[in-house]
Amino acid sequence: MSSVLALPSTSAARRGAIDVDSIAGVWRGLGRMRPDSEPTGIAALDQALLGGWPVGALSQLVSTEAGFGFSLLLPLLARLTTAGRRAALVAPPYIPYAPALHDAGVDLRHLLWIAPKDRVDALWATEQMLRSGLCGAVALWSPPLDAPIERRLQLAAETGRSVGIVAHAGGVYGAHSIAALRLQLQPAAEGGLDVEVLRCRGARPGQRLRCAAPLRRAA
Amino acid sequence: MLWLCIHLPALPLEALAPPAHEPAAVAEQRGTRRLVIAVNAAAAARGVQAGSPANAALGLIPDLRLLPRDLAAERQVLESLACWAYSLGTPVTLGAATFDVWVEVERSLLLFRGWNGLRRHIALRARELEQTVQLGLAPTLGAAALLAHADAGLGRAIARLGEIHAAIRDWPLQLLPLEAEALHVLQASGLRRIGEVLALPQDALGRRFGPQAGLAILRLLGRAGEAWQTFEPPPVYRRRLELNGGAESTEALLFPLRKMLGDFALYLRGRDAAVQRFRLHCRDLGRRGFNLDIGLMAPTRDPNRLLLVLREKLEKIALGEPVHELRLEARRFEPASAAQDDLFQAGSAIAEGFDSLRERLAARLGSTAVRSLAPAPDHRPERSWTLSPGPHPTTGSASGRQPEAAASMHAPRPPWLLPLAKPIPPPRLLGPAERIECGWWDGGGQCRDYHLAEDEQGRRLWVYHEPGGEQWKLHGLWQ
Repeated sequence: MSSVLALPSTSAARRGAIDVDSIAGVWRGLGRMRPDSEPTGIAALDQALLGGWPVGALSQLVSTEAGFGFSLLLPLLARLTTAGRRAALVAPPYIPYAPALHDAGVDLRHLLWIAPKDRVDALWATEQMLRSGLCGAVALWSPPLDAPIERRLQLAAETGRSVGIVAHAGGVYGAHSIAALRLQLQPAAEGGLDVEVLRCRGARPGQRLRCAAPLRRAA
Repeated sequence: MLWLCIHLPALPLEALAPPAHEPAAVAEQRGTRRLVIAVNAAAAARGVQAGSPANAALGLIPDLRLLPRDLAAERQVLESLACWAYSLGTPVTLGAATFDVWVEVERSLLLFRGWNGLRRHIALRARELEQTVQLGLAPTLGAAALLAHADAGLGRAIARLGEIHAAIRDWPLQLLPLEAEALHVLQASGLRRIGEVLALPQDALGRRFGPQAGLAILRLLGRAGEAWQTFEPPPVYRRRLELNGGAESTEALLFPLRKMLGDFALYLRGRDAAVQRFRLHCRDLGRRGFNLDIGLMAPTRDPNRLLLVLREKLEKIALGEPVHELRLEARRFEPASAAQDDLFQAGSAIAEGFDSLRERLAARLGSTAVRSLAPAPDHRPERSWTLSPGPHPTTGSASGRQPEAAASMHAPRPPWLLPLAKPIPPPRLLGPAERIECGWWDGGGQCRDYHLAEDEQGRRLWVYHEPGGEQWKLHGLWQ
């Protein structure tokens, strides 16, 4: 296997072989970019995550406080919505503040805020939107999910080729999860975020990096 | 004139829609006898025929489902068919006694470039119908009905008045629009074909069977003027469907609903309208029931979309008692927007799909749970955002930039806003104050000094205090 991957792609092309990069799910070695991902808008993070948020998979944000880490999603929401794609926020713990989102470049016409009555409705709505293939990204704020539910959402995201983001408060570190990406978030100095990559498909876990406060346009 | 007659040979049975797999028949009281007037295939296979006494039929098939004839249900079917016919031409008229609907289509000849085009179009449209239909096309109402009853099909249409006589000459005389008794007498006199009846002296029929009979023949041939009552689609749509045996689960309601919505779509198409709000009323045997009010994001007349939304509503409901009756009512209609075909279909297909997704979400979660945000031109943080009411126009992606809010001149704002500001102990402030003093004119006046602050974990906060006040309040979060 490794010898195949070690071939320079030009020689593979010359011999008329199938381009390995075009096959989904083939392990491509460390440090290669995943083609189906949405950039996070932060170069260092993109590098660590092999391209950004994985498309067609679940990503998990773990933090100690409810809602912590929203600012990390803003560049993604801005890029999707200005491109005319839809994005949805399901059961956010606070009010997504329209003027701030607008300032961050989010086209609010393409953003949905779903405020369901209970957890069952929230999960249902998330699954529907992920599966529909009409939403570029769906972010859900919820307590940690059971394995069957997580798998369901993962399948829905896979079907709809959508970026599924689940944000947990309370941070159960080490709990089993099938999410393709798990990030642990902590406040850092100067309003930044400390991101620890607990898990990332195709990359080494355990990387830590600091993201500057993306929102601080002025002091 | 050129009339298309649509005849429903199995109307009494189809109006009641009994399940096809068990033998069923429709019976009617005639004088002292109860006669079977229609049977389904399962019953016919076991020897029951229309016209036999009900008791004899029950003797043949003890488990026969014998339904009383329902004239109101038949009328409903005819009316929904008339609504459908409205999309072919006008005027439309009904013949409830003979299960016929006529529509005048001569003006459509030009539209469809002659006979072949018209016939093709009618045949194509007739495939939309669930009922068994027989079609006839002729210059008079009588002749069109005669062709339809004989199941002549569109291939044997009559184009001109003068051709009627020759075209119908060889048909059996039972097809003539005369009283049953008159037909019986004619047959007993040894006549068999329509041609033989038409050959009788003009006034002989009138003298023997009354003036109506003579007139009917003259009208059939187009020698006397015909009169008809024009059918107008009712301004309010109401349909009622009784469920045989009742439906115990919401799943079981979906099949009859599909049929109801199919009829509804025909009506909408006939009126060239679309619907945004309608009501479904479900009743049990004790006439207790519940209403489902359906509101859509955008008007539609697609029965599948309507069914999808109804289904989400129904899934949330646990039926106490079996449902025996469904009523569908729509009072307001919107003009149907002609579907604009996009050169590159894709964009509009996604928008359409998204509307439908949004509707499904709203149907289950409630319309207030599915929200769109917009900035509002107000400096007070609580009022500088709104929930925008409906969906944004689905063509929005082409309409350019999002509206610029007046608020984009302000200092940075946090992405999370707390619904209610929370009192906190004095935080560590990180910057100068931004004073927001506003709203004295509408009674909601406030004066606050907002600061960027930090708590002990290092989280960035958006806090304020009122000048002169001591209490700090947390109003937003930055991360």
